Amino acid sequence: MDRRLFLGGAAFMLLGVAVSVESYRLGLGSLHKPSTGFVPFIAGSVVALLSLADVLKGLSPGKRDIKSLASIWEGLYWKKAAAIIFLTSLYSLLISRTGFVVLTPFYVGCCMRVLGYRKWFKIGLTFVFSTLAFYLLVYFFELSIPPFPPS
Amino acid sequence: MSTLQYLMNGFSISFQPMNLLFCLIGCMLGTLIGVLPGVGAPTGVALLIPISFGMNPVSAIIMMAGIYYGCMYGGSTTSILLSVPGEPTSVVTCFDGYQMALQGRAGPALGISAFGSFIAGSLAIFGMAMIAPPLAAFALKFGPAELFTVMILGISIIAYVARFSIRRAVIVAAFGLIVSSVGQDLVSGERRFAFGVPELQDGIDMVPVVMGLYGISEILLNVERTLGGNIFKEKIKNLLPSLEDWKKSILPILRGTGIGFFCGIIPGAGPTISTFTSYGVEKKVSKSPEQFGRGAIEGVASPESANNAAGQAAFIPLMTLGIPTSATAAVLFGALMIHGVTPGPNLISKHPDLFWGLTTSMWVGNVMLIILNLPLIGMWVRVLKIPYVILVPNILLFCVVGAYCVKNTMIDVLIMLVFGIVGYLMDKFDYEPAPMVMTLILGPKLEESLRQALILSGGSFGIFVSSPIAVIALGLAGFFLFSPIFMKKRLAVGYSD
Repeated sequence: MDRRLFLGGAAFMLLGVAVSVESYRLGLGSLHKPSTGFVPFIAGSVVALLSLADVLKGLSPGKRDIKSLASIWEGLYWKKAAAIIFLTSLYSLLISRTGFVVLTPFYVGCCMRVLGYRKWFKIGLTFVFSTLAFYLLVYFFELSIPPFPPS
Repeated sequence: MSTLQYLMNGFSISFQPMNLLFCLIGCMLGTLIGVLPGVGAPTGVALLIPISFGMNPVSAIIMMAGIYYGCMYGGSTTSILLSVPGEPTSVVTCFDGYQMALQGRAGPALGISAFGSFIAGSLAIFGMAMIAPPLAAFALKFGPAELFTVMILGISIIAYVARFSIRRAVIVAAFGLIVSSVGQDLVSGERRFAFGVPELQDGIDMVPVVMGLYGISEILLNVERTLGGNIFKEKIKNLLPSLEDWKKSILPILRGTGIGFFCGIIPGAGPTISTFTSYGVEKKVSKSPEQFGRGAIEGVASPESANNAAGQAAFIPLMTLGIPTSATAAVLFGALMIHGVTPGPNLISKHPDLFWGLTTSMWVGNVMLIILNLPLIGMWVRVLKIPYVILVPNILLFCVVGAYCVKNTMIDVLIMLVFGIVGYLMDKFDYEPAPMVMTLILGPKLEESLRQALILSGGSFGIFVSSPIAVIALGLAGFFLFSPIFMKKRLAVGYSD
């Protein structure tokens, strides 16, 4: 059994089936008047049917893992990746409450620490960088970013 | 007005000071993105989209196009100096470019790469000016059936050239179609797959998806990578190629230009395929093929010319047919739509300033790149020494800001993060994201064409074989999708299926 092939195929197959079912519920219409669910149903069916081939290939008795499942995680320090995702999610949730100028230095600094950067002085320069970036983005490119915490 | 008059008008637009500035910004950013492995052109263009909201469409597209062809220039630098391709289009340059650097000829390699790119880009832009208007006039005859089949052809070619199996590329393309259908149905107005989330009722924007698939996932894949291990330490000299170098390179440059131009026009073929094809052709026609892979200057001149010509020629189907030929072109397509410009047969007639301004600005950008990039080689080499731990948080910051500024909502940032994880998992399980980006952007148009065609034909699929254009497009799509089953390999790509 090729577990990598099986898992990838199974995930897409489940997605395809779910989309097809939901599209059917929305209504397919008819060939001369396709309705809301027509194209998503075709897309979901294509995903499900083609993924079924991967699932069956993965389950076939003669198939052995060409690349092991563990190799998915090889080279990835998953704790650092998870930390990056967590910090970025937190940053996006808090930016409208705390503002860009206040929060960004902490975000960039924390990411650098997570990734192993130890030079505190240079991490502190992120405050200068984030202020400069703010002025560039807001006054030159006219983006709408909350600068400071709302009063 | 004649083509010459249009070009003069275009130059008057591209030489406006603000447009020159934005062209320079785009070229420099593009070169930087091309130099930095791990940051791709689709992410770079997607990052600039929110920044371009305050700009007029002509300036915005000039800047973003600058990133596209700037990447071609930048990618070759790391290929030659480090044997690390900055972009997929620079993989082939590693074969001989790095060998030339090891032989103390990094300067001529970089020089011929830059000059070859300039010559190819100039010729391709001339070709674009000649071919695009009559092609757009021809494309006005396209009905919904022809449009649908041409888009299917484009998707099938993207699947054909995918790194992994065609079947998986089609799965990913269909997945992109599903994601594009989230939100409001354009025909009936009904909501699809929004599940009561108000922010999803307007659909999923392509900017956070592209940033997630190409930016965040790349960061997750390379989170421990550091740059600089084999930084080229020798002083780079003799950037101007010698007469002998020119004698060996001029015909490969011209051949590469032709191959690249042809590949650029074909939906899905694109710059990467053109580099492999041109390298293969040069090796075949060379009197000393054994030199290839050992520092043959032809092995640098031809693929670098091909990729730049293809990059410029890719704007032809994008602007005249509304068919993007690569993930980056698809993002540019999306950017134009966001600015209220619909790429397609009517673009040249409705927005002549944009088309001719863009065409002439690409030549101006090529001039900027050749004047600035060679003297700035030292600066780009120093950029490579920046530790990834400093680059990553700043790239993340701009991704977050870019995604946030699309609609000033954090939902887009969360979408970006979700698709970042999706992109990471797709890479680990051998699924390529490029087909998804293409169908995500083409999805609404694809669906509209299909439904219109079926309504017109009263439900008969015969409409898709009723015109020569549709028949040819479907036939070619069938060839690309099914021929590997019988031939056991994919032509000109080198993968088996």
